[in-house]
Amino acid sequence: MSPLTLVKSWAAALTAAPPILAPPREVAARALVRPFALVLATSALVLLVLRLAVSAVLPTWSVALLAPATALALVVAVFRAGVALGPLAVDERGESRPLTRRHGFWVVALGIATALPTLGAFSLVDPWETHYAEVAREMIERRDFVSPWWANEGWFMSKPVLVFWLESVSMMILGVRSGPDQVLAGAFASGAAHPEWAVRMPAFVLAVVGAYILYNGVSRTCSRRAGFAGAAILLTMPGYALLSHQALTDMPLVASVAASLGFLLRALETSAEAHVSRWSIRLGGRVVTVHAGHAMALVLLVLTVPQLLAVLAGHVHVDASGVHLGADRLMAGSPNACTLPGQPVCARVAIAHARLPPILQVAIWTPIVTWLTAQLASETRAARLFAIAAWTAAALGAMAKGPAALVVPAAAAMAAIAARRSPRPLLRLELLTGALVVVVLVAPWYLAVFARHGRVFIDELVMRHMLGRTLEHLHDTNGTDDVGIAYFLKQLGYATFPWSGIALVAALAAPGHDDSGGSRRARARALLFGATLLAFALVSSMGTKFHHYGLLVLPGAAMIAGMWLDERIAEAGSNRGASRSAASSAAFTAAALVVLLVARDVALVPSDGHAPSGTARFLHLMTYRYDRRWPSTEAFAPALGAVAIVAAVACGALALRKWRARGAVALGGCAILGSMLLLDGYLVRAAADGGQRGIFETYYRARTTDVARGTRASALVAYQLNWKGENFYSGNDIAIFIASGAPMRTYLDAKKRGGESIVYFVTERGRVAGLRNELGEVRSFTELADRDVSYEFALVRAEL
Amino acid sequence: MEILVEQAPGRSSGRARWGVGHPAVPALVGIAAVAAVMAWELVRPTLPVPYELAVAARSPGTASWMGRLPMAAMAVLGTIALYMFLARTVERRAAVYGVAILATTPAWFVHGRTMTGAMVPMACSVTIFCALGIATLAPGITARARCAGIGIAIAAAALSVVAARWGMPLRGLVSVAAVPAIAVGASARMWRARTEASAGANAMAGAVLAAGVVIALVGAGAALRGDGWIADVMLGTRAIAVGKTTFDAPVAAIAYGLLPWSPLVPFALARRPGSAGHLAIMIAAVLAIAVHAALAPRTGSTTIVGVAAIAGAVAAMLRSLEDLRRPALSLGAAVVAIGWLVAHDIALAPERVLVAFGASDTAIPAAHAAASSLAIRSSIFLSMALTAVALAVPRAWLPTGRGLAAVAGGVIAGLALRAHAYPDLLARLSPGAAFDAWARVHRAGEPLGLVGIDRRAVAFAPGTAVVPQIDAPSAGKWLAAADHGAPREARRFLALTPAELPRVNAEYRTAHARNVPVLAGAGSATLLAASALLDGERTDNPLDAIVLTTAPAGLRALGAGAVLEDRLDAVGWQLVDAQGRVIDAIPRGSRSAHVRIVTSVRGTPSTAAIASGLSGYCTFLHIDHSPSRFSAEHRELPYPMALWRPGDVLFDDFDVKLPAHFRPGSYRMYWGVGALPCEDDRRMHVTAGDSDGHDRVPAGVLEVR
Repeated sequence: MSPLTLVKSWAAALTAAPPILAPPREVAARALVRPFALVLATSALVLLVLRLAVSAVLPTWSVALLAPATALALVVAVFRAGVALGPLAVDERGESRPLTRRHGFWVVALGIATALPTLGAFSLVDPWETHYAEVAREMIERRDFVSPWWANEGWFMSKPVLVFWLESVSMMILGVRSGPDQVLAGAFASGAAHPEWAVRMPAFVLAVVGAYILYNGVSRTCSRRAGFAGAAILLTMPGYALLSHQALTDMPLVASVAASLGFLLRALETSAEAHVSRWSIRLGGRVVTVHAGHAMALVLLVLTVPQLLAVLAGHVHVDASGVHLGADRLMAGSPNACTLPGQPVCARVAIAHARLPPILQVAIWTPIVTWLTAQLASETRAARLFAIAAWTAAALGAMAKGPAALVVPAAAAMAAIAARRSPRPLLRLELLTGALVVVVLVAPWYLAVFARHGRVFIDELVMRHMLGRTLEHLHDTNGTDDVGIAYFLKQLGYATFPWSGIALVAALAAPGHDDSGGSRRARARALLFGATLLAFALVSSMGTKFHHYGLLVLPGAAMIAGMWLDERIAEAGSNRGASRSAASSAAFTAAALVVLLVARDVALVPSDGHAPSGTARFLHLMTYRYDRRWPSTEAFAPALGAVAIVAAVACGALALRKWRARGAVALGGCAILGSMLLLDGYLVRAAADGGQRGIFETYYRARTTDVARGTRASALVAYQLNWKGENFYSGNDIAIFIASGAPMRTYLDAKKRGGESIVYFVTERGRVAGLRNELGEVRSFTELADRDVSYEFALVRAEL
Repeated sequence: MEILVEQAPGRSSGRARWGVGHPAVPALVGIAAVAAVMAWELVRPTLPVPYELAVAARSPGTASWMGRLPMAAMAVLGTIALYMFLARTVERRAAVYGVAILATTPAWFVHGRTMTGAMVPMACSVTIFCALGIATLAPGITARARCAGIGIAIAAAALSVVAARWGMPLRGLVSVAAVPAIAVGASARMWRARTEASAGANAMAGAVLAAGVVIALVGAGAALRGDGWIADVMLGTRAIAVGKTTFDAPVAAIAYGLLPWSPLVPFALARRPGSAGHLAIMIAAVLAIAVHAALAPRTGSTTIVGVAAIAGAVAAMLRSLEDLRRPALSLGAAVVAIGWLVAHDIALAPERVLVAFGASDTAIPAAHAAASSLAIRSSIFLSMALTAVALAVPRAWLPTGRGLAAVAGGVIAGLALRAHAYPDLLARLSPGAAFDAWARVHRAGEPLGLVGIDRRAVAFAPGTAVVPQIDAPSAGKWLAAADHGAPREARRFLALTPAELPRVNAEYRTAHARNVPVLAGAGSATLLAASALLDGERTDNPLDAIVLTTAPAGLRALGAGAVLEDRLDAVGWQLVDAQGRVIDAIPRGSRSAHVRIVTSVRGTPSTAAIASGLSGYCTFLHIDHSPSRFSAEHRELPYPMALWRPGDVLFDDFDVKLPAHFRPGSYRMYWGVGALPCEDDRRMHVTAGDSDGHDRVPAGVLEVR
């Protein structure tokens, strides 16, 4: 298509006459009452179970049963409501299918069944989960949702804001007590609270939603089986499954990219003339017509209005005398820890750009949001709505981690358009409206922090932590490991286990279909391969490398694997040529070899007492220091080895045409079991090695005993410790001595003089001896928590 | 030899007359060209590189080219075998591509022109594969030809084992024989499961597969039983020191050793095969990579034995792309992305190019490799661009087909590697420059010391008065103790690696208060130092730019006479660009420059007490910025602090690359000496002069503009 033709097409699109839409389907409001009441009831039930889980009213095992059960009930209720309203009444072929015959249901059910049971049953893993959880907790405590605060380290300037908003809202909804000494306070004295359910819930929800939307895109462009296989592979890959159990910025990024890819597939493969269905609901004497454009407009409002309210809240000040309105005030400090050693003093900080107050910012954004909402509400072209949904999802990823969330879907879309050899689909991608959506979602917070903190915040977040990490070697913990092209290939080998072989073979085979005539499947493959390739090239070329950066590759890679597996199963049922059959057999055999080689690294490399064993590789996908041992993972070596052997045998079965379908089921079952093993066994046990929950449970029990004995209030000190679990689990009610020495001595002397002779110290295990030396002669010095409670951290009770 | 003259499938069965049009003519011309190139290569470099010493030392006094000749012959034989296999089982054009690719693959041609010995198992492996492959897969093969193929395979397998007696590396029958046998047998079974084949061919395929599986099982059993001669024969010799190896071990070997073809390799392994031969070579390549990964914990960093199979798989893929109607955009994009990543990696760590030699542990300063890596990176970009164009443009633009265009691009780049980049690298690895200089300037009886250099390196000159030194300090003392000054007095010479130079230099400075004279080898892996310079000689010691006796003029102030614990004087600093020119400010565009701090060690050379205790420290440079400063540390200096002596004036050169958030402006800069591991605020105290109160010496303001 020549540029002139393209311009003509654009002009025609802009001047086109309004479409003639099919008449809306009429729905009686009375018919909706029961299904929607069921949705509300099951939602309340889910909320109740989760709140009871957080407050430790329900034991862990019962939550593991009730939470998935109620979540599935909610899914069923939503489906019934969708059937009653109309969107889910029939499938894409116009057939009415029950829920249990819907592949999408099983995708969601698989996500819930594997990832929800023990989501909050174990400690947050230091340092990243606790970093973000602590910032989110401080947002609640400081009543400031614009300027992230990071306990003793001041303003938090290394990540964008979305994950903190999600976690803080989740904590508020699920009833986490965020105040000092309250975080682990359960409903009953006997049990410590489980704030982890609330902290990790956004990651879990995004993981399932992202996988579902991607499934939907592939199922509509290729086949349901391909979509289901891809989603099942994605959900059971350790990289994705473990990420759904980690409160990091990465699941919002990865899930957003997955969702964006799913929506792009729909946008590019939906006819430009197709319009969404409409439903007329008769409410008494009035008729309300709704369609997907309204839903998209509602989503935009839900995502933007709270942001603007959070910005506007800068003018609202609450103190002992009540609520006041006034100029924006920026307060530094953690309100309940201002006077504790090591904690910054609470003080008012000058606003950098006072001439850009919150109300002016909101005044800038409101007209744009209003115009966009009106545009979306009047949009009925399906492809364009899918495109806007894709950019919305990408914008959410950018709000969570940075511009990679925009770059990957954009590159994928370009790859799919290149596969068509025509720029015409660009028209359907709504680039201008999409760009505006991205701006109104991402920019308000950046403008707000710029107004408050000035250039320093942008310099630190954008220039240093986003651009700087990409272009330069800022900081990582790779030591002498090779950080060349093999770096992320290796980590992806572990992150995709036991699908490692199939994922690799499928990705390498993907470009071999270039000459397939531009089918929908070929275009979908081009889009997913483009996303995978760009994500891999992007993270591999970054100057700063952590293992989890590579997980951005997973959505595209999983779906390519799903499509490839689907084709191989279809091929087994047909009588195609020798070349195809032999190539498939060889490919599955190669996949089996890859799985066994990966498994050797994981299951057969023991720890030498200092260096971690191979089993720690899964945790190293998520954590900061790659030299930490995680000894609790070592017990899982036989089970992981068994998973590998079964997976390799299943790959062998896949190599045989008559066994291929059964081999695929066996491999899927093996992957599901492996995923549950990792989430519900491995991670639950290993989190204690590098988490501080057990330490603080022990601390609060010991302090309760002290109180029972009539001992005067005791102090809690973080000794040469800066992992942030100590801040989160104590509600930041903790004295911090990172450098210790004379200031700590002075503080302890003052405590002793004040009659508080019992002091608890939280520290790393390797620093206990140093603490003992530094304290000198004390009446008692007792380590209260052994290595089973926490391998990395120690709790010391000292009587001065 | 019946196999050699049988015709490819679909070709005329009649014998063509000898003449220009005879099918064998291109092959003969190609062989002659290869032989000419090899003859040119064999005599360069004149002396063995470190990887060749094990073989070179077995025949002291023999010219290097004589040791290299058998390797070249093996390489030629392996190339011919690959050609024959592809021509008989895939297609003649694919065979020509295969030869072109193999001949321009560094992991193949560096071993074909040097006596590392790695060519023996590689060539044996491809010979076994091709002999069994032709005997099993090629159409119209007679029973006699099959027997000949089996005989050739057995002979090649035996050669790969017995060659260890002549110093060649033993890579094990699993890699050399089992992989080709299983690949041939399995591909025949898989392909023929869907097609008809003769009973003889089926029996042959079964036998070959069974033989391969038996060898593999014996190898697995040997691996379970542990070390022993059976394990060595089956799995290869265990490496003395193996670092951490994981399943991805072959990735680096492919990425950096198979340039410029490495971006195509992954996709060649997953291509849909067009013939049984194509399938066989794909399986052979995959198995070779898998076995390399499986044995990596035992054998360490080595070249993949099945390099020829990988080259063949790439050739078959490119042949299959020949008639591709639509542009292969995804493949083109993938080639560009992988090629760019590989080039990026080599730019960051030039020593990665040594992977082609099957080892990455030989000391070669990265700066030396950089010159070669620039040429290597240029070749990658050239190949990448041409391949991407060949894959992306409309078919009509390429009258010869996409495959040929891609091969042509790769061959041009590969020839640049073979003719320029790797010869340059070999010349730098070879001690030739140092020993040539020694041969030129030494007089009879003047001894040659060696430190850090394998004694076998002087096998080319038997009878030389070689005095191996225990370590660098004793070598430095030995060199400094020579009588010198008078023209007739004997000088001493020392061949050393750049890594040993600082300690040798420190001992020499202690005795003579000046740097040791270096006569030759700067920029190479071997230096030649002398106890004294004669008239007309000049030193080329790289440390002359780092260790001085007097401070240069024109320095900027550093801490107004700051003294660190009565040991170090902060003298001054200067800002220079990448070319060493003094500049006023860091350019805002690149935000990079070198800050060169000048410090001197307190005392004089005549001070009896040496400034001991300067080990355990690092130096650091801070450029303040809120909220996060630029910080650079030197935990290891090119001239280590432990070697600093009273009176030494030293340049501490910081390569400053300011992050993007350092906008144009003025920034305060501080220098200091910290305590290792340099991760906290423990520092050498500033006992006099200016300090910021935290034992940092203020260096004034650094401008970015």
